[in-house]
Amino acid sequence: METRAGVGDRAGRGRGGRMTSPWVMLLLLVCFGLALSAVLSAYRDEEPAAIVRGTLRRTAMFCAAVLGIAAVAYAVSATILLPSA
Amino acid sequence: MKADQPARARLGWTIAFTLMLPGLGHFLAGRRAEGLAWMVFCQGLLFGGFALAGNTQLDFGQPFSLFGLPLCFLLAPEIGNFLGSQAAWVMLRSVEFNGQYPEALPWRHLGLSMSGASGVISVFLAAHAAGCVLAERRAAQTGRDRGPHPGEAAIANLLLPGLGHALQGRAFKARLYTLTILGLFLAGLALGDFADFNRQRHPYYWIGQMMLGLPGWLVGWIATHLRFERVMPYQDAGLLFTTSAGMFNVIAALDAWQRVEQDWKRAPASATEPAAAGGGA
Repeated sequence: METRAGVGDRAGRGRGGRMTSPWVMLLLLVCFGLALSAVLSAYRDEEPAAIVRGTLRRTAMFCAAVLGIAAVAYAVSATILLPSA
Repeated sequence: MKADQPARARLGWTIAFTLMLPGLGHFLAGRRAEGLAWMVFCQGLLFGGFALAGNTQLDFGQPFSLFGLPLCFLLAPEIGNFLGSQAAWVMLRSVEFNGQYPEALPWRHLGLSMSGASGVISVFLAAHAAGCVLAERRAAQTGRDRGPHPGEAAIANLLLPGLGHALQGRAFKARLYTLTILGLFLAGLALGDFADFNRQRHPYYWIGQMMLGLPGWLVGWIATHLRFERVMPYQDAGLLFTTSAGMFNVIAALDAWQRVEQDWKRAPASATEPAAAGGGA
């Protein structure tokens, strides 16, 4: 999308291409989720096996929750919050 | 429970006194030489940092008043060294008041790191002083004085995340905390071109980043000459990563503390040493 200024809009779309990639964002989400879950699981559990299981479970839950909220936010922004022309 | 109340009150006072003046808790707990050494070290870091940075730390805080009466100066993380930071607020003035540019001070970033480290160390010292009180009581009750006490395990995390668990013999947890926290911190720095550990640029994120301890302070100081030279698409994620890594180190320190305490509670019944009671994690 080319804007009046010709250099793209505030979200980074335009002549220079996308600034951020959704796949990289997803990768960063998984990385952060893993780190957060590892620390939380190590804090709550004592046995290595329980820590590993807890890390995987909490990573999946965290990523699913963030993606769910993102999907709702995107849906709302693309529908009822979209300014009418 | 009631018999335990004087000991718990002593623990509370030790923490409060240390937060007021680092080393005072140790001093009152009977460790006078250690307390004096910590006092000199923390105040030296604080006021040395203020001198190197031209007192520009004061530009990052603000006075807290109630009904027009100034009560204290809120400056994080220096406020961990409460009396020192309040004395600095009363006695010193930032060089910016005299029209000088802070950028002209060559050792400014080292000074900012030193004074910030003073506050962070003071908070961890409160845990250390409380651990000294617990260790003293345990030695009197059981005659055992081997292995790190909870405060030592907690403060070791300032040297390296996970070191507190390594000292307890919990190798898996030590490796997990070290890799996770340092990995997250380095990934965050890389996303910000190693230039986002900067108090002037991100004063609020910087408070969290400082909690990482010595590795973070050193990396932050070494990378101070770096500048942003391009638009970084993932800089926000980088700031989140580095700040979270610092906060995770606080969680790791709390965990190191409570695991030793748990070992101590189990030890009289099983008559084993703390590291052996940990389950190998």
